[in-house]
Amino acid sequence: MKASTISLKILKGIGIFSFWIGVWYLASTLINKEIFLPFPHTVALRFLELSGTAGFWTTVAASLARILRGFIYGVVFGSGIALLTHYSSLAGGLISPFIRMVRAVPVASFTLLLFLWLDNDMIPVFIALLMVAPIMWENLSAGLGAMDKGLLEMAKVYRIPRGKTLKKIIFPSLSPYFCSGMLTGLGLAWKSGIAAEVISYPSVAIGKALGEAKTYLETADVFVWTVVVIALSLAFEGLIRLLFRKRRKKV
Amino acid sequence: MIELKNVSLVFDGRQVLTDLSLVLPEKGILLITGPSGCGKTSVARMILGLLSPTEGEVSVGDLKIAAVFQEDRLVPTLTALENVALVSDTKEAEKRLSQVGLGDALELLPEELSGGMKRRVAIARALAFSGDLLLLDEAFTGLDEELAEKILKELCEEFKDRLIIAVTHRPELFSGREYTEIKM
Repeated sequence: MKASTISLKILKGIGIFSFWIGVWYLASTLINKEIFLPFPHTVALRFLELSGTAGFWTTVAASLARILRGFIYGVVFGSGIALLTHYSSLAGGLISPFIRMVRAVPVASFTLLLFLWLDNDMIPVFIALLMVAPIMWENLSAGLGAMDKGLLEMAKVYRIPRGKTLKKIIFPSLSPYFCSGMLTGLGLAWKSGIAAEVISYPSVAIGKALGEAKTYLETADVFVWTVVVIALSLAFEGLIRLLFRKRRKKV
Repeated sequence: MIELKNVSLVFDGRQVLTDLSLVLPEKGILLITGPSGCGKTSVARMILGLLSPTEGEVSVGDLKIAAVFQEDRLVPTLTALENVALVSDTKEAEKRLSQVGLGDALELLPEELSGGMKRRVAIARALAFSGDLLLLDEAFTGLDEELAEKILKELCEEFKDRLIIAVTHRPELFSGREYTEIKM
């Protein structure tokens, strides 16, 4: 990409960001009650204050670890189920309706049920898994269904080793579906994981901090933690995009 | 030796082949011709081990078969060179691509190639694979007469001591050559 195109993109990004900050300022000025909508500078100052404490980083790390664990389990579990339901019609018949049902169950219902079965720290992990797995299953099933059977036949006729077939034919063909599933799943993992933390109150968690901020009407803190979640989600989304772009170039 | 014994095939509820028995020669050119839907490609697919007969037996032994399919069957994410190198080493792949006139297109992806060029990559792949026999299923579709003739000449030269099975509706391409024809 040319340097001028990059500069233009950065300028455009700054422009959009400034526009929405402006809208936020305007709304805060109109409402003029920070308990309902704090000013952007109040949130920024509060962020600086909070990020200077060790507790802030411990909280971020704890939630990050929980949600990433749930996300990874969800990716592995959803992919495994997709392979199973694709290659076995019996498994497909049995499992597919169950996964569709899981997808429709609200996070709150699951969280409350899991209260009875799991430790509070584990509930967000499990919730993230439950949200990510069906997305991965759906995307990967679509990828497996759309795979060019002709190429697999060609590989068989030409006796291309299984490992090479996987690396050069199957993985690149599934990669866009896998990437799309991971991107959608990651967003959902953060949303549902934090929601689960708000309900389940693990020992240290962003969700717990959010819940407490709400209880004590510290609206600026609610904003700070929300911005942190958005930033983390976007950072990992960018990382996934980068990984898949690099992989595509390698293949 | 390739042999089809009392082969019958029902495909999509339709009787495609009935009690077909064939013993294929060990070398030379064998044309399988006939109208569309008569089962030519099904015979080719059975020889390649991609289709099982409903009744009867197809025995191919452990023969390595180089095939040019009706479709190009190129991996879209791999360059022309990488596609051919899937079945051979890179040096051989390069040599075969040059042989079919694609020495300048090694690094192009299938989406950057014309229909005729893709066909030639598929043919180069078959050449690069040191098969015991060559199976061509409408391999020259999309190639003009002159180019098809040139490539066919090279294929015949390459496989002169081996068997070439050609499923085709253009048997005239093989005129002037010695061949056996099975009309279905």
